[in-house]
Amino acid sequence: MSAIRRHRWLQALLLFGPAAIWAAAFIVFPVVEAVKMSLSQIEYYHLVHDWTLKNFETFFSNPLYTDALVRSAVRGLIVAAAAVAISLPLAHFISFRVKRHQFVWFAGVVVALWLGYLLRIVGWRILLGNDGVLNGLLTSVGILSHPTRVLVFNPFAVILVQTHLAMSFTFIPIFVVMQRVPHRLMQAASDLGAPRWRQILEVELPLIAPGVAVGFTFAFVLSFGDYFAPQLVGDPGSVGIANLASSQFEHGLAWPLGAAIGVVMIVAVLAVLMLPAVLMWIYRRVIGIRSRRGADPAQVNPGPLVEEVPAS
Amino acid sequence: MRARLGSLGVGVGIGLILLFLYIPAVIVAVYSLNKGAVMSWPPELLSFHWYSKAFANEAMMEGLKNSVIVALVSVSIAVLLGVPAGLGVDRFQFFGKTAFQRLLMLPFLMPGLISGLTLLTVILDFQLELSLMTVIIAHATMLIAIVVIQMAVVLDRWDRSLELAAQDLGANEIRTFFYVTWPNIRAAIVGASLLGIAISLDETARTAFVVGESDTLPIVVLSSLRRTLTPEINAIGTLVLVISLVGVIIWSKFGAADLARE
Amino acid sequence: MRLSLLGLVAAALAALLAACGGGSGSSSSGDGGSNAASGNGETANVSLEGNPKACGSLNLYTWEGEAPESLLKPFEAKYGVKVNPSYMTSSAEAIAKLAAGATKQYDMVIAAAEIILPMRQAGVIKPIDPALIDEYEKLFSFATEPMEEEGELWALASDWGVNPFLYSTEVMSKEPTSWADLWNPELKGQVSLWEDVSLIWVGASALGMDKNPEELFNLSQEQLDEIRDKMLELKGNVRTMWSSGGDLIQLYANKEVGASMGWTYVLNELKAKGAPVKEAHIKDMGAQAWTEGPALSKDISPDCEAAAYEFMNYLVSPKGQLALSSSSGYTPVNPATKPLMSKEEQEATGMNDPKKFLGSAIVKKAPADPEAYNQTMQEIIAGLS
Repeated sequence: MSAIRRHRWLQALLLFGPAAIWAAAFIVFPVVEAVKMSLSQIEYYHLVHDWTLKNFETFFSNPLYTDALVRSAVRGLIVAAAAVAISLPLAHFISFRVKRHQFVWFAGVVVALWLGYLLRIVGWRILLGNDGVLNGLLTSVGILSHPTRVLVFNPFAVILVQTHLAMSFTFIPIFVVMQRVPHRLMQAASDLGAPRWRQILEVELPLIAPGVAVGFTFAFVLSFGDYFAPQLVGDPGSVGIANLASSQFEHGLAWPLGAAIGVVMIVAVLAVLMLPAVLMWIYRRVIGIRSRRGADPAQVNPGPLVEEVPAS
Repeated sequence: MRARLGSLGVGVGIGLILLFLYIPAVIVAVYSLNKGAVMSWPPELLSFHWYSKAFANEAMMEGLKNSVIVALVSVSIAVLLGVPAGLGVDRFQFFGKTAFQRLLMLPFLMPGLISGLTLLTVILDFQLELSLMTVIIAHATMLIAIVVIQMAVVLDRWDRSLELAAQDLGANEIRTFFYVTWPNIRAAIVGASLLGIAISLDETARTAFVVGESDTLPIVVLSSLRRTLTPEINAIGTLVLVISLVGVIIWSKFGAADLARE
Repeated sequence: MRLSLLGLVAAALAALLAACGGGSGSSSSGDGGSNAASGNGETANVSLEGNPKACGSLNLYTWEGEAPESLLKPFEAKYGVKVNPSYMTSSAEAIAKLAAGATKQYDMVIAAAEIILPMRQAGVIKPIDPALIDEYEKLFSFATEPMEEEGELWALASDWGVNPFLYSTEVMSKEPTSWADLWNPELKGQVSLWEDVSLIWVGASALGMDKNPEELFNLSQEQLDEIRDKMLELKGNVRTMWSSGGDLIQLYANKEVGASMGWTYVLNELKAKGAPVKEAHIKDMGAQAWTEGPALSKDISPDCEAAAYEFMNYLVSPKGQLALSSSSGYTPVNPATKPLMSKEEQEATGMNDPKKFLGSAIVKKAPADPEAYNQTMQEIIAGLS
């Protein structure tokens, strides 16, 4: 037996070692540093580590920051819901209604989104602008008498653009997971007389739930952390928490405040990332108890969470 | 009749969705051929001079070169770190394993701003240099997650007993790896690499925080947007899009079909 | 699949070597810190003892467009000293970098009058002796004087400009006469404001607080609150904020806004593209003028300091000024540059009538209490949401 075989720990070291060192240096350490900086101050352009909570005080006492945090979170939810809502029918169509060349359709969708982050935003701006494509078309056709200015530089434009940006991250997980749904399951449901909507709701959806959760989460994180769309197509009221964080490093010299905003964002995102696991846990608790009770859905007795339904 | 209308409805719906997806790309491409620099309606076609200007633009070409370098190097680092880690995660069970896996995924799951910001605080506090290396570090850290995920997917369904069989037959670690393990994970690595390259080339948010004197292409685009109107960025963007499209078509002809069917 | 991963890795390793070679230096046009002798910051003010030629290269920390070949090459040819430009993207970034130790890396940094005080507080620059600048007395005093503080000269003005009231003739039928015109109801949804302390200058002008220029940089909290409340009245008029020239150019070019405070280069770009944008010469310009020029890093070596003075003299000579102005579009500080400029250049930079171009504008300086001003600025931006 070779030395490596003999010592399992040596094997583990060789396999994990490099990644662990990298993770410690470039994942863990930077977060520690960011926390450290969030507890520091800047005096005359010099960083002073005096372990103070002042930056967090500034954050939570000023509505400028707390409002932006809430605004970004809400926007993230809307964007994620919209992106998932668009990805689902598209993925379903390609997976179940397209018979040949599914890959071409898939590639077609993915490539459309491959333009480049900033350029996609610019493209939307050209479309929605005062003398942009949409206004131009609508006025030349006669629907509008003069260009409308409500299409861009407002929160709606930001949501629209971010939904588009998020599509790459929602479509792919949902599509991949949908591909794994065996057609014969859907076929069986259909043979048993289930109409299309029931097939989708009761066979497809539960199977693709994990993919949907992943896509939803990605979209939320993307919108929450994006600072380009609000800057390029938003109004002053669309400022997101990400904008405030980045501007502390760009314009202001308030790195410690920027780091503090970053720390708050990390906590927020972690909470959201753990949400699917938490929800799944709850879901399984409820459904698990359901299935233990037997196949009859009318005889639900999941315990203290739901009212007891007497057996008929 | 109802089925017909239903089909029509579905067709229109899907059509609208595809329209939604394609609008920005089409608009950017059309205006890359615009005569003037102002992108308003109606577009004045047809002029290729933005394309020639893009190629003559030193900063832009430098940015393109840097983006390619960063993409290749970051992906290589991510593969060198992520493949062994993926193998290890598959073989070993230990306390904190899930935590370690989640830790590796974190930079990919977090907003780019956070990764860039935290890395920047290290750089600022230790008074280090911002350079292409810092960009590469930021990208590689993010891409490890993709490699690890791909490895997990492939190893999950691969029969470990093949490895044991090889070793029972007398092969040592290295031979086992090259003749048994490698061919099976090769596809996963290539897939992860291609995806990683695509992601790195477009990466803007975290790059903006840790970029130094040498810009990547997305940063050049950002600087251009900040300075003045220039459809040169439309030109370069459309070009990258078309090349990706061609790349995907070629790839699909030469054997990606099985990956899609997976 | 015929793709060889080994080939991919080999290419990547080659690229890694290339990146380490070319990318990990501090500037892409030469490595920083190649001074022949790095000094320890001791000043040798009145008489220069260094040997300029012994300074291999001058490291200049400047803005894009302000260190063109047309300026650097003749200097190098004449004096035998190479100039290595590095570019900053914001003043704040520059001061922070210098405070963190980059004073050893850069010999000179281009400083605007409004960052002289912060730079002094951060302790990163040393004074300049105007006696060693030949043409100092001939330069526009309104540009050079703001760089003097507490009896010392901290930066040598090399260019200046004005941030005018820009407006679209399609939106404003009459030329505006005051910053107060931004509050006109006809400008509903047509205004864009700069995300900058300039928000305070605009409000101060609208309230008439710029009658006494010195007071403008020493506003009391009461006055700042008054300014904030006045700016918040603009709420309905502001469509979006701008933070870069490109933003503003795009906004005007695509007719998204019709009035704003802006930059001269923005106006020139818009005119070149045929947009109907003009600048208004208003009486109460307020603190909308700026001046900038090189300052000496506190860690500059004696040899490089001597070379720096040669560079500064060259920079403010008519030939140097012409090169700088042609590349940056900014207005020269040396009146003798005018005859060398074409008519278009004179008009674009205001050199045909500098006094008129300056108008009643006050050159911006740093506020005595930056925290308070910054806080007010944040409140204005927040309130406009």
